[in-house]
Amino acid sequence: MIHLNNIDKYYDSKFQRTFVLKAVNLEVKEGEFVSIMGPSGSGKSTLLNIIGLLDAPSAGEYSLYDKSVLDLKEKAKVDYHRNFMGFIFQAYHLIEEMTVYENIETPLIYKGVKSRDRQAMVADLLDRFNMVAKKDLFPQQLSGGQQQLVGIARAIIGKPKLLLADEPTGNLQSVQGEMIMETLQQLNNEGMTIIQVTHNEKFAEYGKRIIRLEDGIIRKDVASKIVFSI
Amino acid sequence: MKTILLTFRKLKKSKTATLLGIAGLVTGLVCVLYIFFWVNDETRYDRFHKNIDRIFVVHAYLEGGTKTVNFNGCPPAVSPALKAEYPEVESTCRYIPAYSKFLITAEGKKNVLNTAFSDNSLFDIFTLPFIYGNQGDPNVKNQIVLTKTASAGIFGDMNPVGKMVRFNNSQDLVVAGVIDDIPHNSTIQFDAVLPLENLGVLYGQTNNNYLNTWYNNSFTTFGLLSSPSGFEKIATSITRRIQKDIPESTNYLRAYLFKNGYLYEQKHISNVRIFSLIALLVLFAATLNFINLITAKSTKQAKETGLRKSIGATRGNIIKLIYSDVAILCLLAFVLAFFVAIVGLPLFNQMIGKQIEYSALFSPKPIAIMVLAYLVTTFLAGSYPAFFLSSFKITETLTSNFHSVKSRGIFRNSLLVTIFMVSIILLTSTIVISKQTLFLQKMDIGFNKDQLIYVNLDGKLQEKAKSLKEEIGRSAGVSSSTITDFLPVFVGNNGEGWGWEGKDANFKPLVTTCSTDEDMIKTLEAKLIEGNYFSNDRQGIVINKAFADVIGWKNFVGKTLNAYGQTHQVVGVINNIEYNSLAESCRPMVIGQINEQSARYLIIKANSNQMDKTIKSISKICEDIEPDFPVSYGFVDQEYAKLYASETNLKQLVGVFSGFTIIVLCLGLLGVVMFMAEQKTKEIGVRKCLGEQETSIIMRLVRPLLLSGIGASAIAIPATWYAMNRWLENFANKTTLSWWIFVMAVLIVLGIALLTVSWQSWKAATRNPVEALRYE
Ligand SMILES: Nc1ncnc2c1ncn2[C@@H]1O[C@H](COP(=O)(O)OP(=O)(O)OP(=O)(O)O)[C@@H](O)[C@H]1O
Ligand SMILES: [Mg+2]
Repeated sequence: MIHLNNIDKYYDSKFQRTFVLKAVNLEVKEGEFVSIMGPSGSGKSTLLNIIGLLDAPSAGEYSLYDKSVLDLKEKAKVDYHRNFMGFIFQAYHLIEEMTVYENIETPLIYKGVKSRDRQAMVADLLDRFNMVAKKDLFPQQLSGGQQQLVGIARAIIGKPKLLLADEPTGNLQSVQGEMIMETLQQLNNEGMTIIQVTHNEKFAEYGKRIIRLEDGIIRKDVASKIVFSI
Repeated sequence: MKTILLTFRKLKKSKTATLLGIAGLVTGLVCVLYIFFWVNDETRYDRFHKNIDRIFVVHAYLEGGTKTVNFNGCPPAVSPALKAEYPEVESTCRYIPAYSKFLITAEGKKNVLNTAFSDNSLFDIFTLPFIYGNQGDPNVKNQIVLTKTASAGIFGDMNPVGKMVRFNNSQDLVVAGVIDDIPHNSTIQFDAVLPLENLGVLYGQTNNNYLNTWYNNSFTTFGLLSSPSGFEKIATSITRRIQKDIPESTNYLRAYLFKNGYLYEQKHISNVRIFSLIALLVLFAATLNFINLITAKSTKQAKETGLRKSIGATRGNIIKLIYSDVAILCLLAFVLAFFVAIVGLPLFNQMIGKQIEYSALFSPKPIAIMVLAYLVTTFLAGSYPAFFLSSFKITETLTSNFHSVKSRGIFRNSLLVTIFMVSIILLTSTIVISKQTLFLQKMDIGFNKDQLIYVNLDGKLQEKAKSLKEEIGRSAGVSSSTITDFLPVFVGNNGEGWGWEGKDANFKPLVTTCSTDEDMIKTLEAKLIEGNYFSNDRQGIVINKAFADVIGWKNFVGKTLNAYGQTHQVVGVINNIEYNSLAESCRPMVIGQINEQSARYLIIKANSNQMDKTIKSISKICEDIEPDFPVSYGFVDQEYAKLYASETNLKQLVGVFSGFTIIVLCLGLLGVVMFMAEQKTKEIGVRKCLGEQETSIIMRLVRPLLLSGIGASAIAIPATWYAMNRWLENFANKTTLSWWIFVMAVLIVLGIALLTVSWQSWKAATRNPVEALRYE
């Protein structure tokens, strides 16, 4: 599904060129659950942002389903964001002035889904995440774990094929983190392709494959040790 | 709907900043609305006449003296000549404005009404609709037209047409009609109007010859054109019309369109322009302020924008969202401003001395302009954040330590500078105008206007003036009195017929003539420069210094001047008594001895503090002599205040508007500093941990403010200096533009700014650094 070929990302300052990513080659198949690990500053977020079309690589080729997605028009990019991929952020990034319900609903509005269908879809998700009672609360009124659940719900409401998560558990205690990981795993089991960035070894093991980045170079790309039974 | 809800939730979250922004915008808008009302009222002056585009005015001007002198009117023969000689002219009319009040008795009631005199065609030319009756027959002399209020004061609600009233206790008139009250923004103002022929009776003339002369410029003359295009011909060909009949006359004619009279001839347009500019500046400052405050949370907003983009919002979606956000807040501000403007209108009217009505608010033009202003403000206020926020890269906004500080620096500084500039300009102008008004009030006017009471010598009081004077002189509280034919606030009688030995025959200065009895110097406390005032055993004339300067001799006593075939001996020269407009320099004046027929006023100097009692005893004496007329008296100082009424008014206006701007300034500053403090919380925390003193932290916040203040002064001071210099050029008697005015204005504005800022900075500086650092 995802095909990265010789991706470079660098920043030019006055006298030197700093490479954040260097000759990254990566192939992700449909239905995979990939964990990206590595020390701080190694380029994990950058890689994820490139995959998510939030950032452009400095060099290299990137195609989705064998179609190059470099130099996409704004409109085509928005289309990918609406229909193909969902994001989860470390800082949740919920809209403060919106209730849980409205936060989850927003991507559907951008997608142009009809009001009645939206209601049904949001209700479904709320039910699934056991958040029905919380639907009229504002993000500040929720715990961190609950906020991240809303973030996931918002990311997957549009039924994306690809879910990108940058340290989704970064701000959470381990119990809540585990809950999030289980949710992701379940989504993966339902067929969603997931790429997550994490610092936590244990949480990385939820993925089926672990990639280790160091100084912008992929050092290791292995299947995870623990294979959960389906 | 959803957006409105979201906007309000946002408003609730960032209460202070948004409320400050809205409050500033509301204040600015109220200010702009009021300026608009004022400008609207000024520009609509006289526009209610249906024929407004076709009416013109003819007036005379005099050349041959030291400078051109303009008259409001022209000789009475001009009007019929215009009508006869120009086929373009449909109708003409001579009009004597309601300079004085006259007694109208009817139904056993005595009423004192502002009475104008006019040709019957007044009602053909101007839109003065009748409620009862009509304008009457042009050939009937003994008739009167009243306004609604005047009629109600005499006859109550009934239709008075055909009823008799007694005019000035000497003549019976039939009520021909009643017109609706005249709008306040009208050049033509009266309570009652009489046919012009009645003027003669008043001044003791038996025939109507005085209506056919080619001299006497007291007749305001209007003409109605059949089409506006006819004006050009009249304007270009009328100049020397008087000379056709009197070749030696130095009076020339000029025509202007009536619709330009108030704004351009009387120069009200310059104030209209000044205030329109102020309105734009205030609106600009308030909008900038609003933008600054609603984008105060732009870090957060930028994150939200980035997030929305990541979940599939297009740039268009984002821009729409920002605009609708701003549109809703602006709408709120506009509605509030409209409401405040309505509630505050009576107060505003009172302050500026106008009668702007609520209907002015709800007519199409102000509403259209409000809608336009709304759209422009929304556009301006929305464009900056829309452009600014949507310009960030998504990845930039979503990193946790994203700050949008740097790109806002220039914007915030220009905001500060603009607000400072507007405030300093307005404040300096207020001070200069106040100083000039004060100067006019304190100016040496050649006499002491305090505690001077004047009594109109109506009816029998005129012929018995001497005994009235004696009687009043005996009552307590009166130190002296003088019989005159003028009040020192208005002398209308003048001519260019004065001559003296050695005068150039072509030099014909306009000289005002008036007369008093021998007690004028004592009563008015005027000062003699040379010789003595005339008295029964010292017959002659007294001239003022302005005239003495024009003649240019060293000594005057014993010399003679001639006028209209008579020789007059000069017995003294007095210091200039400032009469007529204070804007002009004093004109030459000759004072002669008064005779019984020309006595108009008794001016009384009261010397007690018990003014009430003095007036009561004066009234009593008057009533005993002339029971038929109600006693009409007044105070010279109050009449005098009317001479600089327009400057006083301007002072009020500028004062009110600079008040508004300073409120906008304070709100803006508060917002800016709050915002700066919030952005620098972390920095301040770190610096405190490193041991920086609180005072130095406060300085850190205050310094940019001072710099913008000084920058603004650099622009504002020369601009104001230039504008105020030009304004002062309108005055012959003017105050100086001292440097301290500018220093004071800058200090006041900066002082207010610093005060506003201090508590915010102090709060930021004294905050516990640990708390500040934890703050995220
Ligand atoms: N705009 C930029 N200009 C220069 N360097 C940049 C820029 N943005 C990111 N970098 C650099 O790119 C490198 C990789 O950043 P990235 O956020 O991808 O790291 P990361 O692996 O996600 O780290 P962390 O685990 O701390 O989140 C960092 O060293 C950072 O300094
Ligand atoms: Mg990262």
